[in-house]
Amino acid sequence: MPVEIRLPSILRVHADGKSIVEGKGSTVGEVLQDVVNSYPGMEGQVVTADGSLHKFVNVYLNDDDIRYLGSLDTPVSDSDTISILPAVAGGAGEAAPDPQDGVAMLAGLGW
Amino acid sequence: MTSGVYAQIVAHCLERLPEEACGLLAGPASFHGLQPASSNYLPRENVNQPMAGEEPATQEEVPDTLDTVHYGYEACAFYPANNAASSARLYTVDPLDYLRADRDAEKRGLVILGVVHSHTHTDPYPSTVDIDQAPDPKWHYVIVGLGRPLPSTRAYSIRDRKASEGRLLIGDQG
Repeated sequence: MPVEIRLPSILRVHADGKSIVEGKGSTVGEVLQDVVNSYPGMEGQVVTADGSLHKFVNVYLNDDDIRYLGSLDTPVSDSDTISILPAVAGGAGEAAPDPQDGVAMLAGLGW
Repeated sequence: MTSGVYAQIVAHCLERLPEEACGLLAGPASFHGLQPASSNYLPRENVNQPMAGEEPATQEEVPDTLDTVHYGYEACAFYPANNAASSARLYTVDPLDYLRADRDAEKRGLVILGVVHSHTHTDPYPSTVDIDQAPDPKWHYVIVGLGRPLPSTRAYSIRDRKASEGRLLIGDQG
């Protein structure tokens, strides 16, 4: 039985628009490679050329981040679901005012 | 976006002060940058306050031919997320919150349309960090500026490391 892999919208363009694809393998890494074999456009999107997980991607096995399991070597079973999620980050950046200004502002408002 | 979603967004951003707040927007997949929003969408308020040195925008100044990615955007659900960066200058959507939002949206027949975050001390313009780390060119990036007495909200698309502002309408289909 193949494992279900849920794709974020940015990767669906490489999978004929599908939000869910299937892959076979005994580990997360093997399953992801099987997906790449089926959808070559996914090459390099999740796993880097040196075989590690891309730093801007989070991969969950069911409810667990695989970085806290066995990473790409985490074993999978037929009932598992792998979810690929892009890292979503940003912010005003270092050019923004000192965060302590916010604390002072709230204190001034009586918070 | 619906007025309810807008209210939730502003409330979440204020609640999370002094840190930056973040969350995800969801809406019907059929509107995901593919077609203009409903003409029945009635803007109730102008949430874009003029920036420093900027004259208030008039209706005539808003182009009607913006790329379709700016339209077709009917956010009817907001998923507040923990800022895993716990910072007043940066945000990282907690991936587990993203996962839960994605699952819930799917159950409701929705898709994740974009991300919201606050700038606690500055106006709602995308920063270099926002532009460099924008994960999806189809997404909508809503920024709530809290650097003034009243929150100011703007929406952008970010593609090829370029941000362009879209027209943000708050209201409910009549």
